[in-house]
Amino acid sequence: MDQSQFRGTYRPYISPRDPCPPILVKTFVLPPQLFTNFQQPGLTQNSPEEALKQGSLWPQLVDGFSREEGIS
Amino acid sequence: MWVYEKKLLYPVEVTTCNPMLAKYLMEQYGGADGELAAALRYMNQRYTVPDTVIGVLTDISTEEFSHLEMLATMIYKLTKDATPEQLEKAGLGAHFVNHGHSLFYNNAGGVPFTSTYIQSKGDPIADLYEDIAAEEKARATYQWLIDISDDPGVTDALRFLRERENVHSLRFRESVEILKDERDRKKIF
Amino acid sequence: MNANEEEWNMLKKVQQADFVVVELTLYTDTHPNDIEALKQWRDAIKEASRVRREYEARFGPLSLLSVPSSQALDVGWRWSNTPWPWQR
Ligand SMILES: [Fe+2]
Repeated sequence: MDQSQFRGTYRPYISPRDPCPPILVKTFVLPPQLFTNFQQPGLTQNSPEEALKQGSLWPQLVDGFSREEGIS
Repeated sequence: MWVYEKKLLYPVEVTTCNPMLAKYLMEQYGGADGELAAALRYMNQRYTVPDTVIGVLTDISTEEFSHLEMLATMIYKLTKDATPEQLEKAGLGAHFVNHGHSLFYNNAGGVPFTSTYIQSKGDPIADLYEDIAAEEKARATYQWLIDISDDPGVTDALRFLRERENVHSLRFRESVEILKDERDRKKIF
Repeated sequence: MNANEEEWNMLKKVQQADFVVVELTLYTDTHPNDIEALKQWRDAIKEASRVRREYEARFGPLSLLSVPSSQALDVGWRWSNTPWPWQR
């Protein structure tokens, strides 16, 4: 899954007086549904097993999320 | 009416005795953007929306109740055999003296559920936009819960639930599009 | 594979089949004229009830819409028996 197409980034202002070690680039989520106001018919589907595992019948609606991404 | 199904929507496996994580999960159990709020919000709005979107609200509301049951299962398992000392250490001492080992519709900070968490404006667009926002807020809450969870089974279930919010959000966005189609059409009944 | 594990796995099959129905129901709610999807939705419901019958023949009804077999009652299956979903 190419997650990067569902993420945005920005560079926050950094002050020399910020107490925590600064994070130079902040990432946030732009989930798949933002880019489809109406789902097209006939999208590729997951198998039932994969659908339950991923949380959707359609892989195109899945962006995934994990701590390892380091978003927060 | 509803018929009970003696199974969860998704197989939840909890591997740790972990009252601290249970406390955090309460945000999605009895919190402002939690599953109880979602289920009640949609179930109540459905009476005063155009007929074309009643199905979506009914079916998503029903699914939210199954999410509520998944959350309950996780909280129950994480606290089932925890001692009062363990609960106290996890910040659930106040919960324990009021509720014992039982669950309650509180958020992670211990604030009890209130119907002021939900809205019903009787205006289909206002209501659907609230619903889209609610789904995105639930998605965000799941992200922060995933970041803080230290139980792999719980993390897996949270990941599933987060993905469901994506799908629900899309269905509500589509509902808005369906209502936009009603514009200016001279209808002959 | 012990009995508990086998039941867990068969139940998972029901959960998978039912989930496809959940997804296609929401989809057809907003796509009532997608004939292909409606056909698939119908087939998914058939498949879900087939998988459910397989589970229920071994472990008893999952809902009060399923007819319990007389053997199930003979061997002591009751609706109110444990485990409930959150206890598994
Ligand atoms: Fe939802």
